[in-house]
Amino acid sequence: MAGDDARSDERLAGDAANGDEEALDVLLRRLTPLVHAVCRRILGQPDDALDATQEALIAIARKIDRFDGRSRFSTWAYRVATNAALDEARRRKRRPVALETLPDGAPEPDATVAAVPDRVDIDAALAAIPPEYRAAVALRDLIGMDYAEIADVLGVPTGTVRSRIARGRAALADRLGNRSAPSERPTSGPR
Amino acid sequence: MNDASRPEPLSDDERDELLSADLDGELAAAAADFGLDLEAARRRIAATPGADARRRELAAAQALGAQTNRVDEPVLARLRAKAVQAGNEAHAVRARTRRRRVARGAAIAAAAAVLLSVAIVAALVRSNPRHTTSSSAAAPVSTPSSQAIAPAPSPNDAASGSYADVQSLMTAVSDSVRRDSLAANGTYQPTAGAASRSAARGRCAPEFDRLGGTGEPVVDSNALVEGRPVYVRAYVQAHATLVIVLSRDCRLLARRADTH
Repeated sequence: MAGDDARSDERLAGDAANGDEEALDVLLRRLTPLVHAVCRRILGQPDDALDATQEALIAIARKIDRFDGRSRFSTWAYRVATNAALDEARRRKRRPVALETLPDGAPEPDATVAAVPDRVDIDAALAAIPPEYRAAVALRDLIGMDYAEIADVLGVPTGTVRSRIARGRAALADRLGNRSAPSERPTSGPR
Repeated sequence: MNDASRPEPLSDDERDELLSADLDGELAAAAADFGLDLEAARRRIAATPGADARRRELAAAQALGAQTNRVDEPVLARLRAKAVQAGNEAHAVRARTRRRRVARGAAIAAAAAVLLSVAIVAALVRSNPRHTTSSSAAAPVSTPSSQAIAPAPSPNDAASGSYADVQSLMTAVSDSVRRDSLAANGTYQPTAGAASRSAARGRCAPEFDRLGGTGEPVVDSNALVEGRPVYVRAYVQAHATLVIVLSRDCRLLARRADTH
């Protein structure tokens, strides 16, 4: 179990970079749930999220020797995951979409994911905003990164991070029916 | 509080951004971006209708956003196993590359060491004073015993320069003949046949002979005096060195006998 290993993420990363397979496994075991959660939040679709999670985990495992210790390892890993999910979102945008899967506010059922209350509402609400906005919300509310870290991961100013998080939460709040009129905020692209 | 002192309410976007930032403890920075200090931002929020309700809605959205989707562990385990395998392969590639780089570095270092050894041995051999070489390609070795003083110019060299006047030319030639002869024999003796006769100077040979030059000249050369070409010959006689300078048309410019 990941919890059985007392080594820090950074120590495990160093050992994994030196070929310690067990260290890599423990590290990935720790990271996988939140890496998947980030991908799922950004992409909104379970299958796409699993694809992006796989890409992210492989990228982390392959490039682990490039982690230079200047940030926390988890920050570096979530950066990789975020990029994988945003890449997947861009690929998905280029793919033709079947008529029956055009967004109607509800995503497809997810056989691999156990339902949690309001999950569908979260995905549907966040589907109305661009993936870059969803990434900011995910890194803040799922991972707990501060605005400066998110700005570093996404490569945007902290003011933009703040704005994206506010719009993501507002979209969620509006979608959840806590507000009578839907937001008219622009959703054409990230700031 | 009258209308003039009442803070202006925020727009929906401003309200959401300030309230959302406040939930994350970032209100001061957000207010600064709106050109407000913290207290002014709080007053503007308080003056905005429905701000408290909106704060609760955004807080609920924040809490909802923190929920994760549970995924079956076997699914995640499969993803992880594939990643570990990819990591192992990448590590194997890195290790191979590193080994190859180390081997290449070692080969380069060994080659450099061999070259250095050869260079050191060659230098030692050449610096050995007993070592002589018959190879014309061998570089001259700079040792105190072999560092010869640069030879003085030969009489012909001395006579082939450029001079301000004809007396300077004759003095240079005369001194050079004396020095050359002493260096060669230890005592002053004529060195016959030291000069080569050119066809041009040969043209003036009768005039040189007429002016007293006898035997083979030790100097037979061209020179420049005041920028004009001249012929110069020097003859070693029993008690003197005779220097004769003719113009290009064989006219006498100067004739001098320096005793030795």
